[in-house]
Amino acid sequence: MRTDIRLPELGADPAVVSVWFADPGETVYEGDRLVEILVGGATFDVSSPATGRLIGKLALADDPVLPGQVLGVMEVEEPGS
Amino acid sequence: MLSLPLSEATDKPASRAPSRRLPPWLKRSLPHGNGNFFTQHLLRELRLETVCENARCPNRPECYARRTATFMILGNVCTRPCGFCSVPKGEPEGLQDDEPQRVAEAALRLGLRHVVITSVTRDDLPDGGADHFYHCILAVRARTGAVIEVLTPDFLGKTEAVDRVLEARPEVYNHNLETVPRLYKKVRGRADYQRSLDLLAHVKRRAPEAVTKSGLMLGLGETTEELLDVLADLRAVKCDNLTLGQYWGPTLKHTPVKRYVPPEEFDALARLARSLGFRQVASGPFVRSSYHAEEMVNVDAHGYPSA
Repeated sequence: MRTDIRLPELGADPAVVSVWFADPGETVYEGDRLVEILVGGATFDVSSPATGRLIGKLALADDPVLPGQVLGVMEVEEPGS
Repeated sequence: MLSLPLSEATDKPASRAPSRRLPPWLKRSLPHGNGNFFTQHLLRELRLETVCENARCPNRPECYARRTATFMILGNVCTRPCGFCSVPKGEPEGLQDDEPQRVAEAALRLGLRHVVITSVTRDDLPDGGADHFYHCILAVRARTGAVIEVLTPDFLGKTEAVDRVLEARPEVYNHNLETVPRLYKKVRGRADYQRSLDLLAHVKRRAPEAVTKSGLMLGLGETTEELLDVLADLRAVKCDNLTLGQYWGPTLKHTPVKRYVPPEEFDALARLARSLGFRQVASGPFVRSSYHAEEMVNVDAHGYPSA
């Protein structure tokens, strides 16, 4: 099952992607820091929403991003599959 | 687990190197709760400006989530082109007579016990907006009874303007020096170091019961020696409280960051500042002049701020 990795509401803007901590194909675990977002003079980490495999990045370093925007997509193993 | 070709998800390249990254100590936690939305919606409903938004403060998510904000009165267009600040510059609009009541309403609904009021610089107004400050202070106090901290411009050194603000008896009077004198031309443009020091000295003379406060941004290229000279100058005019924070360069058009100062250096500077006699010192990468401002004011047995 595919799951979107979305930028949460930060209450501040503009936001840009700083760096990804995983590459497509890598297994990531729920709660792992996945993407660093730069907002003004601070950075925030977006965590992995689930355990699975990162399959794509839709926003790369220096791309401006908005709350709710899909940053990447992961494949999550469904229970019993 | 399903195995999908990566191209199904995106045609983006797998990665790209970031053009810049901040040091690890500038990492913040994601804001929690709905306070952020509450604060944002309230400010929009009441058509109020905050320095939090206009200066793109990195603490905004945290402060809004705690239902606090620093009100910026006298409009959102500044008459001075300071190199560090992202508040829009240009031709300001006329004053809004109902702004004091709207600020008071917001302070009441946010439940603030410590209200910080700042402004753009209004060199176009004969009194620099001092009378408007006066009315905002009175309105907020009447509705909330809160401790009031003002962060004013230098009013071009007009002491009668400062006196008008002091007539409203703000408990804390803040005026930021921002940086060391050598960097004034680049960073503060039309400001004057001595004029700012004189303002703080004047406040202490005219209203010794008021807590005086000033702040500097670090990382603009100042040396430690220059910084210590400024701290000594501030103590010489009996400035009570001090804030030291990291300058972050709002955009590429602004004065660039020369250095990111590590937290332990901020800590060492705080200890040093306290040894010079500052009563309260807030020093750290995310410290701004009004960040956690209420924690810098002690309240005596009568509920009156005692620095």
